[in-house]
Amino acid sequence: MKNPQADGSDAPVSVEAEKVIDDAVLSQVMRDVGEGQGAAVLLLFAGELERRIEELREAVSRSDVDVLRRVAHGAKGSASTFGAPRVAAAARRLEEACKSAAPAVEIASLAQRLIEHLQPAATEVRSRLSVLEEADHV
Amino acid sequence: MSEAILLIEDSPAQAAVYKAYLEGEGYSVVMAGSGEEGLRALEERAVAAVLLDLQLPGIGGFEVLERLRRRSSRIPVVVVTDYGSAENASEAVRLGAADFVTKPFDRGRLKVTIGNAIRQGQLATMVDKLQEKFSRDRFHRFVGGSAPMQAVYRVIESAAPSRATVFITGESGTGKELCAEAIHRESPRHDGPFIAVNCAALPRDLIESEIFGHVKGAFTGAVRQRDGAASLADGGTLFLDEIGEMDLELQAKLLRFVQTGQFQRVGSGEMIKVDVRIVCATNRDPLEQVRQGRFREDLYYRLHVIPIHLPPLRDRGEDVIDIARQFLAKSADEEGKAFVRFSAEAEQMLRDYAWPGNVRELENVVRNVVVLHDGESVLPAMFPPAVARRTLSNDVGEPFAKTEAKSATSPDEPAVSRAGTEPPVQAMTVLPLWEVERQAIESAIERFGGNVLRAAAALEISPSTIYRKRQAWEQRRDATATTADD
Repeated sequence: MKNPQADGSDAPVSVEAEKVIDDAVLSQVMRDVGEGQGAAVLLLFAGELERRIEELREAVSRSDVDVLRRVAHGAKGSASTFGAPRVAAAARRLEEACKSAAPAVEIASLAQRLIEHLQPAATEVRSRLSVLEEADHV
Repeated sequence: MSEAILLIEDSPAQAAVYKAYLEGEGYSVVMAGSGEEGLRALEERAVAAVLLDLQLPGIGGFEVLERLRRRSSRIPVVVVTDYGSAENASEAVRLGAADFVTKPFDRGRLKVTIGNAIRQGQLATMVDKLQEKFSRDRFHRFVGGSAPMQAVYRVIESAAPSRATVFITGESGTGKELCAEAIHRESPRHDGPFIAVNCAALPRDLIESEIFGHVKGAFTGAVRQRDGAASLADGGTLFLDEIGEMDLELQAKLLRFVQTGQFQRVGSGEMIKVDVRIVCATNRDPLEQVRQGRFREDLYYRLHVIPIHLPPLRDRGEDVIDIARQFLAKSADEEGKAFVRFSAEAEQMLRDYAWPGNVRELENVVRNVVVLHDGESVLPAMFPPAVARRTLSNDVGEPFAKTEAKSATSPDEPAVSRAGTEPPVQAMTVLPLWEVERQAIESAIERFGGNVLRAAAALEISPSTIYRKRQAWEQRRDATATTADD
């Protein structure tokens, strides 16, 4: 399934229209990584989402645009790989804003938006992880 | 054994996904979280391909790619790019990436791309090996496929991509300038200038100005500022021939230039910086010169980074025939003569002779034969006496001019008529070829106000040819003077 708004190039409302996790993409990844690997990669992905929240907060407090751009770029990559379209879109906007040297206020608000999308994504991935682990223990 | 893939990716989650994809396809995976780590891993183990994320902390993906290519590595690199960054992908391919995959990609896509890249790398390696084995009988302007020359060709090829100084040794006439030119042609600077200076051909003051240039008024006759070879060679290769003849004071200046890439024009305090690759050559034993205190040891070690020794012609087996045939065709064409071959006996004489003046002597002998004789086959009696006597000469390694004088003056000597063939034509009613050549060259130099480099460019020959010829004329003149005194 190809969503034209996946890259977040359109109006903000499209971000909200996306799902937190795109099941089509994520289940393809789960199939592709093969049996027994799913939980491990999900765990890493959840950890990465959570770590990025911390990195963003710290970079915002120091107004470090370079770090913001790098974190946004990384978040965009992982989110597109695992199918987290809202994160991917918000990350893309932040990255572009950093690249085009947008006003600090705008960058800070886009970073805040990205954090707001990272949190539910991390929660969602953790819950899928626990389902997967329960299934393993059965 | 499974093929190994080096995965350079800073995101642990994505790295885990790609690793799982690759392992699922039967590859073993070496992981690196940064470009530096990746390059280190490549030093430690062989891999069939590299999967490289372009966005990395520390040194970026493009730089990793460039460093890999600078090592002239054949390992194929597949880069991972983001959706919407087509420019990055094409830039990566321009820098030598085998292919790219755009995020997000699934396992099937990665399998196909990596598989193709590995096959491409294997083919490239195979071609390299075959080329190495395939014995070449031509390399740039070199002719000859003998084993010692194959080794020379290989060293030239492997030395050319770097900026390291090359030190060419070999007897007179073995092709040191051809070697320097081949290095230049094979190098990434091949579109830049190739400037040759013969350090033996000019007095000390002039040679410094020839290399580094001078400002107006630097010395008598310096009526305007002039760029030297070091400036002219900017972005290209500077070839310093007969470096063993350079005096110690100038050696100190050259050392500073080699160390810093900077120099001063004669008479100027201004430092000029250029990007030049230095190739130098000598027909002397450089270490012996160091021992005798005639060559600075520190300069020797600065210059002697990649040594190339050119074998003398007598050690090159059948190359002598190959080269002689090439010269025969060229001379016959230029002189409008019918010569097409050497007789079997003549070829044997070419093999037996020791060629103290090496390829240059061979060229002169062939030219001499073509100018003075007619026919389709070159016969033994047509050779100058030195060759015809089959003397396995003792004066190996003597400067070329002596040898040339010998062969070129053959009409004055009694013709050796072994097989009773035609005597040499008395061609002295017209000017000797060397005299015609001398006049043409001297008037060109005059025309350019004494600038040898420009004269050489206009004559479409290399400056060192002019220096060499001037030296030969001088020695010829000296020899004539001595004879007259007697």
